[in-house]
Amino acid sequence: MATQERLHALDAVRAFALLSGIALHATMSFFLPIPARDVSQSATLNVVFFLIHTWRMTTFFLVAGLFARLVMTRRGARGFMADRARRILVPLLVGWIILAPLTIAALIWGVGRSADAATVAAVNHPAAVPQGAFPLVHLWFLYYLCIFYVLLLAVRGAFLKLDPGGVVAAALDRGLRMLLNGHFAPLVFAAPIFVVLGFDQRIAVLGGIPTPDSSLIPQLPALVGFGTAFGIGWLLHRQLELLSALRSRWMGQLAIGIALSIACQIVPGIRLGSHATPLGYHIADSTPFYAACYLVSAWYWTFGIIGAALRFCAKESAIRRYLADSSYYLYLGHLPIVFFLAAAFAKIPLHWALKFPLILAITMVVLLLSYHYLVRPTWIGEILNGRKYPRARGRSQAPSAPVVTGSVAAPEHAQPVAELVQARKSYGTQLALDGVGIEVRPGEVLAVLGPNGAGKSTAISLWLGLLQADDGQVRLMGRSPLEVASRREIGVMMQEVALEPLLSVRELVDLAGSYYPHPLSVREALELTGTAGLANRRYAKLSAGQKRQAQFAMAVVGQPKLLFLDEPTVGLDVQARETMWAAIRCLIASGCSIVLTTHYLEEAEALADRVIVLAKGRVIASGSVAEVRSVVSRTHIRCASTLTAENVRQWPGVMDASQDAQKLTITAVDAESVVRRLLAADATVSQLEVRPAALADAFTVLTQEAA
Amino acid sequence: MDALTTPLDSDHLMPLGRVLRAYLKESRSQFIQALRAPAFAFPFLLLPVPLYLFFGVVMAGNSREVIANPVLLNYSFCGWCCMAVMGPAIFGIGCGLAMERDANLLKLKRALPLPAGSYLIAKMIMSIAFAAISVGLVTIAGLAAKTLHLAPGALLAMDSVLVLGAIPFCAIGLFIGAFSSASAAPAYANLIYLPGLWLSGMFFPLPKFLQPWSVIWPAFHLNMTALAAGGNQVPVSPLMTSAVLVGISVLFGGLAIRRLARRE
Repeated sequence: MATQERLHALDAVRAFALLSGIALHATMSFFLPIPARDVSQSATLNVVFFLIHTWRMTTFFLVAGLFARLVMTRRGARGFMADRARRILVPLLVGWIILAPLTIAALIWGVGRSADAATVAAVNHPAAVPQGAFPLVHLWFLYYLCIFYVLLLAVRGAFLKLDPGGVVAAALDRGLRMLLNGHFAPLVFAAPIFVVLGFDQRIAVLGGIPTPDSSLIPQLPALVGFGTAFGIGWLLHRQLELLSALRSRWMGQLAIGIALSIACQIVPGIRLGSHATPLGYHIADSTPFYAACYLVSAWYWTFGIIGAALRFCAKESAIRRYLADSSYYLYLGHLPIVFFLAAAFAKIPLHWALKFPLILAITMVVLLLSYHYLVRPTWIGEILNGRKYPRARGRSQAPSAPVVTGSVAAPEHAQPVAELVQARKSYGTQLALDGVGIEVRPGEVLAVLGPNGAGKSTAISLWLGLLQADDGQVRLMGRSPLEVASRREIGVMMQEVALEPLLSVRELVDLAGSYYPHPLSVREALELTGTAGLANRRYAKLSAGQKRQAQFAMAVVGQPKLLFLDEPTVGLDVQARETMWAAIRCLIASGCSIVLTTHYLEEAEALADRVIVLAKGRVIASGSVAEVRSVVSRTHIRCASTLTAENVRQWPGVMDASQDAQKLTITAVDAESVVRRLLAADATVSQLEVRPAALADAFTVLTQEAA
Repeated sequence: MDALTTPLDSDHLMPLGRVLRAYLKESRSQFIQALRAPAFAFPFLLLPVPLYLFFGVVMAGNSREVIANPVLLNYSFCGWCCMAVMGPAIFGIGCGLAMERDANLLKLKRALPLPAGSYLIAKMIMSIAFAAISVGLVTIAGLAAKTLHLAPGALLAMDSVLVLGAIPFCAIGLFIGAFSSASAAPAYANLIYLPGLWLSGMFFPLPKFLQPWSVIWPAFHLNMTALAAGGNQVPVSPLMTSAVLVGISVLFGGLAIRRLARRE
């Protein structure tokens, strides 16, 4: 298992521990009087709290110790101190100033709302306020991390001085290896804290290691319990390969952890429940047994969870990465919100099974939204995550660049009606447009040609505002295509669109006309496009060709200045196509510009003033039809002859020759001399046709070259 | 002016009258389409009436509780009205929008200069109009059967809330239509509609273990808000249930609009 994968898994564990803390605090009002006593009490959530509380901080401090050594090895002692000051100490100080008052306010409000004698007594009890009281709130873990860092630097300094050969360190490594490869490491690791708490009833009263959140004076149980975890995490980083043992045994470790947790619950004399004492526990003198089960279970849980993460969360995942990055902020910010919601919900007569998830959901939504927009892309995120993530990139405006232009077919001085300037667009890793520049001038018909996947549809979609360019500029009528005002001057006929099937053609055209300031009347639009006969027929009942005609009528009804026609004549019979061409010529005569994409090159030849050929997202040719056609100087000769294609193919000036049952077809660069030789060689030649190169030839040559 | 030489100086501004006309035409076309689809119009416009008469008047009217307390009939009336409101909104918008998305119609509409939101607003107006008609028909049936124990003002308030109550379901419909494919949309719509009807406790008392969960269904909140508007006793605060309905409208509507407005 690669080191990087191990670290991904541990990152997930740390996030899991922090996020579980949010759930833990959200359970409190359902069985404790703090932050408020909810009207719907729950023994289930009491157990959930107990289970999370068992492992959460042990796990967190172990991972924290491991990552601490990672930072130390990467940055050295000085870098380590600077990094920890920025990412732990600053959040502790700033976070406390902001969060402590809010948390305490929510707490006071909550306790006040659900005030009954028992609650007030529990909260005001002198024992609840320790000596040197200081409300660290949930930020105590940062305070203890700082303590551990200081201790660590001291111990490390001592080791460097006293154990320069690394003898003791090597012995510690060997010991850890032996323990982790065996089955009883949790017993050993729980031993120090058992010494401190094994006979202290607080472990049972508080359901675990007393949380040191009320005093700046370091508390011994927390120092020993969490310090052990931190130290073992540090040592574990020296031999990351030891994690493999945890990975393979995750299930067994978790099973033992769960079994011990159950044992804690059934220890005679100690009973969890929401009605026993204000804090929920009834105490008897079986503390050592309880403490042993509890403290050992914490380590089994920890190893089980880490093992499971190594097993299932080792691969990098964008969602886990995001959650892991956000978890620090989420945990820091959650407590006032959770407490406030708990207090707000306390008296609402809903079942806890609804309220608890609702509190969690609201908290997470609020925090994730604020994280995404206010933290992740800002300096706050830089402090908490160690890096700042840029906001999702919007449309960037590239500086103006020269536009690829061909010959003049429309007044060049006039402002283009549509423009792409260095437009770049990709779908994932696939580049669809690679810095394309195209302009459509007033009154011209521009044919955009290209093989499938050349970028034609992308270019049109940019102009229509359906897509946004990654880079470069897109202008429609001198403005952004996203402005409705720009689109009020265009008409659109798209491919593969199914219009409202139950409306008649008349209703469709009327509806489309209603979007424009100065539309034609429905009758005019129908007459212009030769669709008057279809007016009362429902769209669903039309043939494919008639549907195209109806769409054409909708495209022209708004009297557009610019018309986008995407394969307009597909499916049309010859007569309908002639009618559409006539209507298009009519529109051109009235000053309308047209962008035409078509696979029928004779259509482009018949209608277009200018042709752009796209291939692989780039403009590979641009100019008038004649100019583009002239890139191939070839002529097609066709005749009935007794000569064979093989024979003719050898003649100078012949590029290719083929033969079918009746005719010989020759493609020649020097047509005159080939025809002369043909007539000389075969006196029977008849039905002679000589045709210059078509746009289709140029298209084929150009796109083959581009490929 | 000659468009050839000054293409950008044209009047691209829409007079307000024409903008309103565009909204009207869009709504009208949505309504016509809904009426022309019998598979849609019949069950959602007409079916609630016989169902109400059979279950809400005849069957419920003979039960012991209702004979003892005839006001209970108001509750069954409200439940069937809720059903009449939910259907067109969830199915009409959800399935319709998903189909139109799949058919690229939405793409075309986005390329055309529709006034902001007119397409979605039209769909909502269609649903609200359907809700008004079918709630009206159920009300007429209830008045004819003399089973409504409501003052005219209370009945009007209740019906008004019910008709406006189509809005959160429109938002849910938009959400389904915006996120699911045409083939999956009916399944999702049913997933919200059917359990919403039966598990929100509108037609019969729920088993005890299901009762706390009735609040998760939007239908519960509409039912309670409408009942309270008609002066009937309800176990929850109508302010809260109205707030939930507003929240649903904002949340689902917002998510749907965000999804539909996305330009990649």
